Amino acid sequence: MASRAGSGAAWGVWLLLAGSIAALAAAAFYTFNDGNGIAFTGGTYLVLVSTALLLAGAMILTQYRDMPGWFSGTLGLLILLDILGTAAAAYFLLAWVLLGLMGFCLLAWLLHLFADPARYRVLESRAIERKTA
Amino acid sequence: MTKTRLIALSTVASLALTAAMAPALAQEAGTDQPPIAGEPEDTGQGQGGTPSGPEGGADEPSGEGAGFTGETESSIDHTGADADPSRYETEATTTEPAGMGATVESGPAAGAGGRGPDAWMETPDSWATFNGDLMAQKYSPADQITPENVGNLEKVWEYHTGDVSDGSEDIPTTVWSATPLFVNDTLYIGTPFYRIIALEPATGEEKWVFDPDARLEALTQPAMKNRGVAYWQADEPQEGEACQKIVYIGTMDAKLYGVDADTGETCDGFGDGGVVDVNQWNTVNAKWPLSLLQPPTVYNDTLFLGWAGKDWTDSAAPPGTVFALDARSGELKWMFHALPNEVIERTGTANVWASMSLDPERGLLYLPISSPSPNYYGGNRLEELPLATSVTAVDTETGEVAWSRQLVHHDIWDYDTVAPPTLVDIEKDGETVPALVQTSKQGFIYVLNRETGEDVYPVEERPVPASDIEGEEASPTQPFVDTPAPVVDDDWPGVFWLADLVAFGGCSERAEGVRWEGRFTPPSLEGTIAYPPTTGGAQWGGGSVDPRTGIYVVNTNSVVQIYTLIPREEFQEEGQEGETAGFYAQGDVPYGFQLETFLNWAGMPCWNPPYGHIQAYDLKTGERLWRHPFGQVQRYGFYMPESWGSVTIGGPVITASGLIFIGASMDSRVRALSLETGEVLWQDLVEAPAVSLPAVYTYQGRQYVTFIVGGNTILLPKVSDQVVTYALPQD
Repeated sequence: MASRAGSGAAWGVWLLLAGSIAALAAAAFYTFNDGNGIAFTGGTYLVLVSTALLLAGAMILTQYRDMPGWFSGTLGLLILLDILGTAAAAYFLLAWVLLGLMGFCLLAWLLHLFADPARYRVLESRAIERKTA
Repeated sequence: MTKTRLIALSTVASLALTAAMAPALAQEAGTDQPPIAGEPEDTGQGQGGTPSGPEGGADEPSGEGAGFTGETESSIDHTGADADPSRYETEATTTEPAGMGATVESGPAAGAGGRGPDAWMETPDSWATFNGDLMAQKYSPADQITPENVGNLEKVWEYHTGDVSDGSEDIPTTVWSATPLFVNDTLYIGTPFYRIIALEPATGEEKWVFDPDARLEALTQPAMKNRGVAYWQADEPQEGEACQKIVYIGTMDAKLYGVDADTGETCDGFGDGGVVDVNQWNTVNAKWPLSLLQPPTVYNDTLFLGWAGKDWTDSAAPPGTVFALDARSGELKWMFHALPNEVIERTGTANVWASMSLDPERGLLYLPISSPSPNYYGGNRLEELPLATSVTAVDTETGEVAWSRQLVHHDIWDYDTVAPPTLVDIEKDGETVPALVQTSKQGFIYVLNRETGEDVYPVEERPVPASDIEGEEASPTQPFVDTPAPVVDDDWPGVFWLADLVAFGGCSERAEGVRWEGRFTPPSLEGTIAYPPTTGGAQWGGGSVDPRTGIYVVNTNSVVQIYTLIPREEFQEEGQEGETAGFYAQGDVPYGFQLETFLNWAGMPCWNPPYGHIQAYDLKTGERLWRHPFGQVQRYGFYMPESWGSVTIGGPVITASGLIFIGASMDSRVRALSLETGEVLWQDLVEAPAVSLPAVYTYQGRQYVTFIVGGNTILLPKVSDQVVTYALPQD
């Protein structure tokens, strides 16, 4: 696994970023487009915040490659929880587009976990940190 | 790949994702729709088990003035009446016993009218009354839209009246439950601001608007309410003559307006310059105006009119009356009083606030009569009040009682009879029975012979729990019905584990601390589980029937509330008077009252779902054919599982092709269901809960379904002014 470190594109992270941007757009649409049955409700405000946090997390992953292992691990876990929580909220809001985007983000997260170069990856960056220590 | 390229790529990908899903988003949001085009103490002995006729306890009326001997409080102008009362001082009225303690006053227009159906109302393409027809069958013979093609239904036009308020400003929130009428090639709509709007049925374009500049104040209700308009036309309308066809709308402050159906101009010959002030007859316990929220029932040039008030604030309140007015002139034909004269110093209401039904062949008007005031304590009214909480048949020409069945004795649960009884002939045991089907808040479906009031399916008196409140004497028995099966189960649904978990055991703890001994457990000091409570059971929408098959459909609620009486000295009124929750003073009786829906701290229902159903019965056998949770509960935007169902207000309409059209649910959907199975075949998102009856009609060969989407604060704090019409695509 270490042989892939630093080589190739970090597709998972970038796809996660793309998915989170789309998710935030969808959440905003659900929140502010009156007449969809859920606009301006607590539920849509919740997914608006959660998708904004998801986007922030994805941006951190793309911007800061050499994070401490504990930080990247925690961030990765929080992103996963955000995806799952937003997906659950989307399911109960009947916000199927947002639910689909959360599925996409989950795939991107898995891709990031298992296929991205090590310096982007939560688990391997932690391993690298241990080695260098 | 550079970072810049990756950022660009991810941006493009996100845009592509959003674009790809835009149609789905738009569809959910409804943005792909066409452009927009434009509310005796009763001992229980011997009552309810058999029908009572006029001989069953007539009381002598005073015969003076308005016929009442009760104290009049109308010197204080709580009523909003501003018509010149002297106009009516010359009108002699005579008061006669009407049977069962009721009285009838005959007015100057008495004797006019007749029997037999109005020909203009009989056209199969129209939806000319609140319930589609006088018999409240809510049935349309239209068959263009079928179970096979209903999935293709599309919105053909949408109209916004502008008459909507969420209560955040000067005007109280609106609760709009109107049925649109289609008649005279026009769609007529009444609004919660009491305007009448005439629309072109195929396009939704405005033909005319009538604005009475009504008082927009919550005089008797916590919200601005309206359930639509009524229509009348002369048997042989004279061409070019005004007001041969009249549309009527009532207001919160008891004005009844009559306007020309073709032009929207007021009919000067109707009342005083086009308006009848019904409050002129509000002379006893006149604490508030007789709100005209339900449109009149029209038959043989006569308008039959009930009224709405508030039976939770006062003990002595305006006593229940039904008015029969001449459709042309607005003159009084007769006035029916449901309560005996002896009690009206201490009680009131027992009024008819919901729709009535009428048998045009027999000339019988069927009144769903509500409970007496105050709602939850009866120690001030221990006398027999045989017409309170009853279904009562009166003669359309005289107002005399033909028969009556009391459905709850000594009502202390606010079990108003609220739905118009459905009249239908059913084939039972080889005979054709002229039946009446009465749904109820208490969850029973009473099937009676509409000529005699006798049971078609047995109604049995059974012992019920006694009251433990000093001064209260609950009836020892109540009428029970086993067939058709009650719309709610005998026992309350029990504590919902999830709500209990969220409340850290608070739900089960509360349930253990309150009284529950089955149906009709009286209100108590420690709190009583009321199941079903005042929200029903079945609500004012009632049921619909396919007269060809005798299949009867009704939407229902499964709600648990807690009734707590509070000794007067401890009672502190907290918050505003409401309709479903809060504190109620109940006038000067020894107890105030608290009504709570059984929720945990998070607002979750503490009882097991489902919270509402739609169910079908075969009236020929009394068998329940199917029963499904209906709609979805929505909270903070989140939809709960379909298996939980929704509380429902409004009613279903059946079509000849085997469809049920219904709004009614909390989730702001309108739906079409299969009459055979109850399966949802089509649904569409609308702007708020459609708490009304849809109108189904055919115009220029095309079948339309129109829903009024007004919302109801009982269901959800969501209001709208939307009128939406669906039809199949044109070739």
